[in-house]
Amino acid sequence: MNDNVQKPLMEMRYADELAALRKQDTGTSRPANWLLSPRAVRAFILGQKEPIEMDNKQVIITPKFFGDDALVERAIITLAGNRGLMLVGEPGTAKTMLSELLSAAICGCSTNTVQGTAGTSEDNIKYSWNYALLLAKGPVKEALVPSPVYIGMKKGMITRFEEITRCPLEIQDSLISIMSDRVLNIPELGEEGLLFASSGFNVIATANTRDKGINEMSSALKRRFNFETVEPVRSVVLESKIITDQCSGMLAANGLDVSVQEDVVDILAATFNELRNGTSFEKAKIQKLSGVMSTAEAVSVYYQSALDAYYYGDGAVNMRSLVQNLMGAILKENKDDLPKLKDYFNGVVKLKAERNGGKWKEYYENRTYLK
Amino acid sequence: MEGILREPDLLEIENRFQQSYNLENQVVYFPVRHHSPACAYHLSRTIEAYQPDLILIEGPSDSEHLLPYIADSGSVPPFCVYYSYDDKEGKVNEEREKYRAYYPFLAYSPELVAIREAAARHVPVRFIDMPYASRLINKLEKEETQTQYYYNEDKEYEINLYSARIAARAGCRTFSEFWESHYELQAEQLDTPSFVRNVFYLGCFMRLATPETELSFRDDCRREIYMATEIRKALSGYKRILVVTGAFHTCGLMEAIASEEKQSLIPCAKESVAAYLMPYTFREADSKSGYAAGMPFPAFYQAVWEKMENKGKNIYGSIILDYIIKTARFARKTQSISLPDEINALNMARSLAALRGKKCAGVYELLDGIRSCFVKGDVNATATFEMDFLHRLLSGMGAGKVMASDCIPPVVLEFRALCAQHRLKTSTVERQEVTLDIIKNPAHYSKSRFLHQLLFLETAFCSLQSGPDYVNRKDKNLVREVWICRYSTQVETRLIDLSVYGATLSQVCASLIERNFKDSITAEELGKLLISVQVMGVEGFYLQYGEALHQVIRNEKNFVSLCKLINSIRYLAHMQRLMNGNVIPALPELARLAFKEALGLIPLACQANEDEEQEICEQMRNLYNFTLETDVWFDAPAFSAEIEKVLQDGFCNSRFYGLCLAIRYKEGKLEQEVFCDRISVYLESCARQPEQAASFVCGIFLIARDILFMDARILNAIGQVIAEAGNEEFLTILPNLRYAFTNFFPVELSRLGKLVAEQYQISESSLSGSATLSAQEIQFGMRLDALAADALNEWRL
Repeated sequence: MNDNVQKPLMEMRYADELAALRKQDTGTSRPANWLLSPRAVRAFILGQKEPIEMDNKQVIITPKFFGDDALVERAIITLAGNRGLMLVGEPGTAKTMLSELLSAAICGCSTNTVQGTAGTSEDNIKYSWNYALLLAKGPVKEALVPSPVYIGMKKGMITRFEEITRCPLEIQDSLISIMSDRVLNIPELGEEGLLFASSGFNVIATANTRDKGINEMSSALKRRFNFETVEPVRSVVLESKIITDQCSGMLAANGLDVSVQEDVVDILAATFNELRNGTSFEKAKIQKLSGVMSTAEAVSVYYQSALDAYYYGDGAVNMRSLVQNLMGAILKENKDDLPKLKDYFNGVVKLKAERNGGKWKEYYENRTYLK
Repeated sequence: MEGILREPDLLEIENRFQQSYNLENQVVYFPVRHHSPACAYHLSRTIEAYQPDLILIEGPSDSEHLLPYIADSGSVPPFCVYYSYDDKEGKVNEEREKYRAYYPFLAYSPELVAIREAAARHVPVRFIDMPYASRLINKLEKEETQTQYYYNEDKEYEINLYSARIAARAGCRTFSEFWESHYELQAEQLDTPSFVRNVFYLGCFMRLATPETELSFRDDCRREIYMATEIRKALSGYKRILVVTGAFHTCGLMEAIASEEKQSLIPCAKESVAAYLMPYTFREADSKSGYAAGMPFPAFYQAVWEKMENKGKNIYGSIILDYIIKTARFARKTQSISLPDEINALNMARSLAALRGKKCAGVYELLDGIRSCFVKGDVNATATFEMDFLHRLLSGMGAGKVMASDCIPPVVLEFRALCAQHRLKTSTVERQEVTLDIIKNPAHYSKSRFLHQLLFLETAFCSLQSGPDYVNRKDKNLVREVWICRYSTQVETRLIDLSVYGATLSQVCASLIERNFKDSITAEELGKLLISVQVMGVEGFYLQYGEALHQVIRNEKNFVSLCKLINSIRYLAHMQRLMNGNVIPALPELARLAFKEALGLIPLACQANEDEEQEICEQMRNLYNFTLETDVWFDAPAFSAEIEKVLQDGFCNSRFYGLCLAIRYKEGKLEQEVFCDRISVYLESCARQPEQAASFVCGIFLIARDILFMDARILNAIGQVIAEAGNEEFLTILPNLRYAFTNFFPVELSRLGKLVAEQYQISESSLSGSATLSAQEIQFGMRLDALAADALNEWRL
């Protein structure tokens, strides 16, 4: 793997795990064109207790998606069938990561992706033309620029469609015939203009449910997908683990030799969890924030604080910086949430500071930066 | 593994299993998970193979008298043994509370299968567990004793660290999913000894994972010693004894028998204990509904059991298909669920089972399949009616039936009979909406009384959604009552608890009302109680409690409270005339007594302070109005005499005095001239105390506001009071003056305004700000208007 890559692809990052699973996955049946069997895909995403021996070393299959094993199982079965998979949920709940993991495990490629935006056109979904060749040679296959959907159909692989609901409804609907008939009609090519989907082709789409600027989805398209709701992580312990794992990976990828401070991560995870759910662990009622308090945002807050500590401090995460980054994460969503955050510090954090002292006390004392 | 305090010795466990389940032995132990179709299936086969001459079951030994009713084929599960213990002697703790326990039976409960198999084979059957009362009294965990308990709630399974770990290790979300996957789905493929071995091992591991120092474990050991004693007693009389207990207890029982340990227990009074067999509902049997009485989704496993009994093939597959079809049918009412969706859901369930390494799809795969293929959107933001419906289907909406009329309290039997008579369903937990026309329809009136009784008894069977609230005098204009009824086991358990108060619902209600007399009830509260008695139709109430009612009235020393009681009695009489034309004779008596007592309190009432004067005066006005009614309930001369006394005395609250003066005038005992004189004099004398003047005016205007228009002196006198009051004084009297005029109708106020305007020579136009225009001015204006319109037309604007 190239060490200079800022964010390595899933198939690059976990290449040895995928190879080990492929080696182990010999006896079980797998859907046509899948690189792994459904059980091995499950093991890749949810982890496997027993390590796999490969090239005289033990490869550990680490869990990569936490919180809802049944969801992953349903997603795998959906992709093995004739319906697309639609991952919906609040921002920052690891929908994209799950779709990348699934693509990497099933077809070894997580880059065959359409990024949905308000400006996405039907050409981006189906195909477009190289106009120089089109003028020179006319409508021939050579002049056709395939879209990720086209490539997925042709090669029998997964196509990821990110943020599908950001596309206008009529653009989304161009997927309907592809999803149901599994054929793409290219009238410009005449009799040769029918592209039949190869076995293994399917679509994983993701959609946010709370963002601004999202469009409705037609019932016809909905019928072509099985929906899975990815929920925020409920357990604080699990959330702490995710923050720790993600931050460790990001710090290491950037060549920063600092370890993640678990006590700080625990405080951050507790804060996000309590503000998201509207109740503290002491059963006190908290004003729920209107912004999205996602785990991804928590990772970002810690990472920013860690960078601050690394470049401007002694390497240890400073609570002042943590509070300031937390405030930044909350204010960018909704400025009206600041009083609620202050109330949280004056009530819940104060209580925890009195009971637990230590970092919680330091965290509370830095509430003055909330303004 | 963390949590296992004693290392499992597999060889020893296997030896124990061989000892426990050897059909050649005198005693065979059959370990079960309560409410498991698989256990019931293999228990049935064990009984067939072993041919026991005695079956012993883990159930409260002092409820054995209910066994014939449980065995009766007319009793349809789910039903339960309802057990209550009244800790009058404070043996459990100082709280001296009532304790309740439920021992539910579903069609597939292994215990029920054993009881019915025994009855069919004419084999004796016994409960051997420690009685619930003894368990409470001899409990080590006294501090945490709960007043409600569910037998067979499988606590050991759901909260045990071992169960949580084993479920997680098997990739299951809960222990119930693990159980289904490893026991229920494989039941028919395994031979009985292998299945029993699996259950036995599980029970042993659960036990090993429980710390011996835990108080609940030590309580369980006491139960096991008790059960072992019962088994030992049977050894001399029987050759083949089958013992059916939870798997958790099997090892403990064997140890207790081997050790021959004895224990001394604190006895309980038999009269404090009661046990009944009563219908139970699927909803309550579902551990997911919060009652924690066994496995979740009882209706689903009921279907499994029925197919097992009928020796069906592909049991789970066919049931899952059935549920998918039912859910799709329901979902089509609100969304477009197609046949491919159903096929997809079935494929999803089957494929998930294969992925999870299960024999076939179970209830959890069914739920996953429906969720994935039927719900089109974010489950948190979309209405998931189909999922809610499926959960209701899986849980079940029906209720059981018991054939045990001679061991059921009469009040419960009356409840059932009245429900049948009024066509209120007790065979389902579904919501029933009932609309009653209580005025026109006598049957509806009778039904309303029944429902009011159940509401008063807090049975949770019904709630009044809309309709007249007689007690609190709200929505009295409504003639229809809308009730929501929903049967649950709690209804009958509440009635059983209340059965000590009477044999009929009326008696129970009357007894509870009587208990209220023991508390210090006021006359006002008595009025509300009497209305409650009326809407509930409690018969014989006045005969039984006549003297107690009189006593409450005699003890009342609050004038307002007595007046409110009289008001309630009048209202009640009106209701009785409306409903059945006759007024109960006791009512006039009560009204007369209350009136008499109220008159006796007038000397006190007339000294009212500012805070209470208005309410007292309003009640006094009501008393006067009562004396005018055609009913000869109230002693008008005595009332008049009291008024006279107040007027002669003169030293009383101004408002009260004004009211009495007005009453005197209204009675015709005071000439208009004299009345006006006295008002004028009083107001003049209050020139330096304008607050009293304002209060006096309030009293007068409560019933004699007409005097203001009859004699100009009154208005002058009021004007004089206002004119002489300083700024601050005016602000003080203003609220009372404004209040005094709130009794006037708008027409009267308008007339009054003109009178005031005339008196102070103010023209109406000067107040309204309008100007009078001449005819020429109007014509000029109209011409201008027309010219402007023409110009606009010309300019095409």
